[in-house]
Amino acid sequence: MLCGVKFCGGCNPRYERGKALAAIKERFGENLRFAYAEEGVRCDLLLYIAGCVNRCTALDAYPAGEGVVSLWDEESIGEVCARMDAILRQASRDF
Amino acid sequence: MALMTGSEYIESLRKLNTKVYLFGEKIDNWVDHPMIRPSINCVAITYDLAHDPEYSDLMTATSNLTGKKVNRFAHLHQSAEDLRNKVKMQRLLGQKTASCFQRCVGMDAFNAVYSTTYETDEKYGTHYHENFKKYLTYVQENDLTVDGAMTDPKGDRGLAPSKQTDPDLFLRIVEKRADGIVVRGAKAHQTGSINSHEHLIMPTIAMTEADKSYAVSFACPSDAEGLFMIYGRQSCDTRKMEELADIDVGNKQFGGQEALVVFDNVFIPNDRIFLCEEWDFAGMLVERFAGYHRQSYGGCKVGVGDALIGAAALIADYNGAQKASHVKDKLIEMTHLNETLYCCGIACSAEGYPTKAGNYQIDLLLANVCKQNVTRFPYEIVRLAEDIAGGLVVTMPSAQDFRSSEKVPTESGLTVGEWCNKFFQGVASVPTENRQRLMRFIENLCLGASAVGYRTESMHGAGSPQAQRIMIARQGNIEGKKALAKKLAGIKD
Repeated sequence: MLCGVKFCGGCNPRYERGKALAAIKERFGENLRFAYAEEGVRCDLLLYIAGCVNRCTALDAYPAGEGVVSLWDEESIGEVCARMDAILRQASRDF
Repeated sequence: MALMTGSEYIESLRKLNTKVYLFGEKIDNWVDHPMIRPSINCVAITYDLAHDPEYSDLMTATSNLTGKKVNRFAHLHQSAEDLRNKVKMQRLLGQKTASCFQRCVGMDAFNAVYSTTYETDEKYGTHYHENFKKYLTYVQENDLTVDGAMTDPKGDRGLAPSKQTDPDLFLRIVEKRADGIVVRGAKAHQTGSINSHEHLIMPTIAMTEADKSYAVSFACPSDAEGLFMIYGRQSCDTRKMEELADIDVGNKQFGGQEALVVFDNVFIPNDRIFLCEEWDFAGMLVERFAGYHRQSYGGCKVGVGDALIGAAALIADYNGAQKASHVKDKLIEMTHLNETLYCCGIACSAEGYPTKAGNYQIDLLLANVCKQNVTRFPYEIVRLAEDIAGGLVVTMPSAQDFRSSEKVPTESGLTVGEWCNKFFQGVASVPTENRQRLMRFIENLCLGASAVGYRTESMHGAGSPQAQRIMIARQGNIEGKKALAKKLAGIKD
């Protein structure tokens, strides 16, 4: 399963978004493939990492089969991983 | 060509034959000159971040001219969202460099010239808009840095351009030929001019018919025949050439740059001319460029302010003063002032509207209010930073002293370095060198080389305070406000 990663522009992020991605990648290990999302290129799941609650990036150009999971603060990394995990498990069952 | 990287940008500068004078001499390898290089690094980061997935969403946009991805600094704003993203990008770059990153003047000039040429053509049947679209396509395709140059030396401020004793004190057309024009004069205080591939010239004030030869806008390469630059000094600039400057310079990697750009009979071909004697459009061009640039300061200065507020908070930690209530309150005040500037930058963008040409213009009143605040708030933020940091910002010995192994012939037998490290320690767990570095960083921003960008440029860049007050008076709708008061007070006349 491919997880597309989209960062917001990072004008004034409240936490280190790159470190957050590294932590999420570590959590999933080999179970999920990560790549930076590209406009018009479909991924299975889109992980949107915003620097603050505004989440101002337009995501219309980034199609994702299983939907979008958004992170906008450091404290929610665990919660976001749990949501991604649930999507991953559901997708495996459907398969 | 795809978007350049920072390294490719630096290499592209080497290919130019830009003529630079510094300390009275021509500098051939100006790209690697220690006084100039930090400002080049600043521009280079605008290229590198465009490739970084963490920042590309702000740093790039889709061109309305070509449909391709371009650096946002070469983009024509297509919506209010684009205007907001511009301010956000500027805050980001201010945070990354704590300096003036110089590329905004070009972006602001593109947007002003694009809409003004459209309306000039509409009235006069000229072809400036097509000329400009072709030029901007070339800039976007080659990912160039362009100096948007407006400010003339101006001579006697009480006299119009055509009334000056020396007619060159405002840049002017000295000859019209079948294939182009020849221009003469200068542009002063030019931010990033040496680091730019191209120059995009605009008039500096509204003109009358008597001044029509001064109503000129055009583009030319930075290494055009007859064009040269004289580098502007900055406070503490020669520290960059000292040994061990790493610490004393305050911000080793980044810095700003200004220069006097002289045009000694420079030929401009017809297809690079965007205004030529249509004097009644000089004012529109000035007003639009100034409006965009006054918006810009609601982003870039805020980002630099973020870095200074961070430094003030950190030095309070290093000094052991972080728990003092007045220090906490001063940090709150600095943040309040800084975010107020950001509010202004975002507000004038959110209220943006399309011009006749289709690109978006900021709300002029709010942009002028933004810049008026910028002429004041960074000074107060600097004052508070100096207050929190303490006098050591300006009294600390040099890095050489801290590293000196020369023994002082007293009873203790310690070296100069040991004495420095002993007495300039703050909180014991913090290495003295960290405190030293941070003090120098604060000095750099408050009264060193970067104060050019953070303080005086905040005052005079994009127009001095009175220029904004004139615009606020024009845009403020006082008659409308009088009508409101009359109605509410029940006055009928």
